[in-house]
Amino acid sequence: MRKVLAFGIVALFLASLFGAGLGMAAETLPRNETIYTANSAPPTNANPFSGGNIIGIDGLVFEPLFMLNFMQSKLVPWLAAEGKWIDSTTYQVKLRDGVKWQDGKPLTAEDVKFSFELYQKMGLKKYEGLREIKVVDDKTVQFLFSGAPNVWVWNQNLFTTLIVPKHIFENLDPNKIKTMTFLGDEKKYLVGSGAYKLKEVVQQQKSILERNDDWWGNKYFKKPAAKYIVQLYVSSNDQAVNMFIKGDLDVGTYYMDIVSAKQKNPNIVSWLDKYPYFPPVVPVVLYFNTERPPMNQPAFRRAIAMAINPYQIVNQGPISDVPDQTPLGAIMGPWKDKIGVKKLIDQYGWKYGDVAKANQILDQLGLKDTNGDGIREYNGKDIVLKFYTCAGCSDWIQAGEIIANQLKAVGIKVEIEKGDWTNFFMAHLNSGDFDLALHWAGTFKPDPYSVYYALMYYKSKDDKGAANFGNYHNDKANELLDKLAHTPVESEQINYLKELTKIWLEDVPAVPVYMGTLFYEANQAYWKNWPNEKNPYGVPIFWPGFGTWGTALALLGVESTATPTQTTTTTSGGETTTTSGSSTTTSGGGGGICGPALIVALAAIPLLMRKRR
Amino acid sequence: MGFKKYLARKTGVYLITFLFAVTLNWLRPRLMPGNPIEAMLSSNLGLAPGEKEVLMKYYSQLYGLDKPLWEQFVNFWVSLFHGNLGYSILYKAPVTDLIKHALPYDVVILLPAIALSWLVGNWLGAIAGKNKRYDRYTMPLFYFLASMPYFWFAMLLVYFVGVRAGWLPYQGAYAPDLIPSFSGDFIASFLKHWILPFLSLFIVMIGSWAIGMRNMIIYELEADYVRYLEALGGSEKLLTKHAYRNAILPQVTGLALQLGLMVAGAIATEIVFNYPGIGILIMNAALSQDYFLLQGAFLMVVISVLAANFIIDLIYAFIDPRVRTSYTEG
Repeated sequence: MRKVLAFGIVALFLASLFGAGLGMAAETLPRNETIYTANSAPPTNANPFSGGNIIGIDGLVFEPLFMLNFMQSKLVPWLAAEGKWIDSTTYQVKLRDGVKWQDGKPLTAEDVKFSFELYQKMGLKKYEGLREIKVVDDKTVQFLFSGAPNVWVWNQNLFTTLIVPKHIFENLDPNKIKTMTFLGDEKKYLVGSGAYKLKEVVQQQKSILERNDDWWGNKYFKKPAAKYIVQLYVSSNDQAVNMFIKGDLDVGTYYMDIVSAKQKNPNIVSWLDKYPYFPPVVPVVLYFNTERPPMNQPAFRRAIAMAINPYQIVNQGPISDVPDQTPLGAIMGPWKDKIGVKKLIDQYGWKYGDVAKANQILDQLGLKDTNGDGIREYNGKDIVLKFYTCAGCSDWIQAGEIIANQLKAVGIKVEIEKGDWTNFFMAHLNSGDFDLALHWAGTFKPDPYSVYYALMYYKSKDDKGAANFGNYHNDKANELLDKLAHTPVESEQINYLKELTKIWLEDVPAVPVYMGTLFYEANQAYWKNWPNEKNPYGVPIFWPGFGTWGTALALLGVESTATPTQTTTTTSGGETTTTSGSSTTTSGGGGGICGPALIVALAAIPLLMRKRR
Repeated sequence: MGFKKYLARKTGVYLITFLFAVTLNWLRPRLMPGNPIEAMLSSNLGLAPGEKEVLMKYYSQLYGLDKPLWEQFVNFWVSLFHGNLGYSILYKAPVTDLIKHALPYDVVILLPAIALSWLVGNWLGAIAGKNKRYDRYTMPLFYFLASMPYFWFAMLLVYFVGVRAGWLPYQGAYAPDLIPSFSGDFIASFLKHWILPFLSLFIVMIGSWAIGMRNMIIYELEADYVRYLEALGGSEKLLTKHAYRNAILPQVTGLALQLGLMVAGAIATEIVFNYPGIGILIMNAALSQDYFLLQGAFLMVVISVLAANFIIDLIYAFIDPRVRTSYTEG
């Protein structure tokens, strides 16, 4: 009886083991033709509309009219040869010659019209003010607006709206598309125009893109180098670090100690070739709750800005770089030059780490320490500011502690409160129940308008910038933002942006405290020419959903290292592992037999033992 | 007859438990503070001005969260009887699909680990219960094993066997350049990757089974019926046989519960070995308030725990004559 039970269990186990593999094709991907990337969420959905979680569905399989190069804040014409405002209410797009779908059919203006309308029908996009989409000829589309639209929002739609084939999607019910995963039987609808096709998704483990050798873009851009792009599911940073050091991953966005990783595997590169290595993109800003006194006084906020010393934060805190005083990140260099940010800072800005001046301002405001406990008082009560952050955000906690110390020097006490991201941190921020907080949601934007809108726009509680957590309110700023929104003329845009920057520097709605970095790492063993500071042709964000922000540009731009390098890496334990360039399946030949033998042995133990009794 | 009545009564009890448990599982995530759609969108960095409101509406409608709670409850039961567990908020895929693809990996690790550790643990425990000298050496080891956290032992295995010695792979369910298939390469790779996660569970589980069995055997060997049998001159083998049959009963219940909970996955093991499975899905679903995935995963847990208990109830009627008589006569 017991023997039967034991045998049954073993048999059941083996059956389930082999059953798991049934019905899939056998294949090994050649290492030197494959780019391995990874994401911390598993691939489960290839839906091009409602945010699938496969890198490249947007940008590599389906393509937009324009790609964004986020690192340079500029649009790159893609399916469109050009797009321009022919008058204040009409935007005209001309498609490139020879654009076609992966099934060979030509991509026409009808497809563009259909795609924009499909997004609208599904309720995914509103395209504020869009009255009509007019197909002028096969290659020309006109978007007719009623009144002057928000040109910045429209620019974002140009790279976030993917163009899909009408001849395939017109047969699908827009309501049904919402919950389709486009995997399994539904994969047949994934006919894009892009350089890659979705070859296979092993649910929750990996997705594989295969090159489309007949891509229209071969004529305009270079032919993509990688035959396959594989996205693995790697949930923890530690695992990702090990895989990078071993050479199993080629590119990714994972937090790691890049200095020590580079020592173990010199092939690992990032954006900069010196510390901090990671790309500093946009500043993390310290928010004030501008509705609570004394933080409602610009002079008080300015004093705090002066008391903060970003150099100390960068030296002792998170891996980062020093910001300037504006919320416009390093990615907006060209915009900042045109606005003349440097000059404005000299004229209207402050000096970081100027404790003496900060003390002087606070004294002038009448916020004095009368009871001698080292803390200034407001209306007879000690100034104690609550700094809210999330418990897992170690970089923000670190920075918060340094800021607390720096503010102590000017007689302001800061208490740090931690909790979970959604229901504590974001809930406090969204309801305006905090004194101080760090965030970069307002600065991580593709253009300067969106940054200032997110941080400074406030008409009412329900009509404000999405990242204006401190409820900063300035009628002049609202007016400037409204004007800026509707003008496509660059000289006017620059003027408004100048004014807004001036208001920012004078009013200090929030203080940039350090440059937030993207945790980008790439491995040069098999692939070279990864985008970097000197060659920012692509964007180092390897998260799903950022394909048209420039991830696709990066994956299309890499080149193969002709002769795979043999690297010898030493890990911390002192032992040496050799990674061979040709294949990763060469480890321990005996292991294949070892596994089954062990199972048989384990299964046999109880049976054998029983006999002896 | 009596057994039929027993069966009917049990089925009724299980049905009520099922309705209660599933309703609670439906309600509980919704009582958590916060809104999953809001949370999903507030961590989305790439939204254009005004886009958040559009998407809030889109997703609330898509998931039916804009309807009153009672209507959501009715819809839940209606779709449940259509075999539809809903559409995951976090993973944007049908919940049945997610579970279907994650569960096999847990089963191939947990089923052999639980079953074999049960057999080995009971056997070792029984010996320890009978043999004082052996007991003295093995019990500390059992206590050590039983009190060892799974993740800690798993990390030791990863570090010593995987990283330092390099004997076995310790990450993923198979080599990253393979696609699952019914081929020799894949199966070999799969088995190699299977060993360490399996061992990390198997070895730790042995400890608690052995401790339980040892205590039961000692208790049973002291019982009157064994004493009586001994006085009648029964052989040691016969004594052990009778004691063992009685001592195994609570262990069977324990096994059933363990097997029932199998569908909840082994979170720690999955994380340490980066092994695909349902544990991580459930954890992430809880963290991001993915109502539908949580509901679906807990539904599986409820069903399998109830099923395991039901089967054990039936088996008990066979392996424990006392239960059988109490129901056939009472």
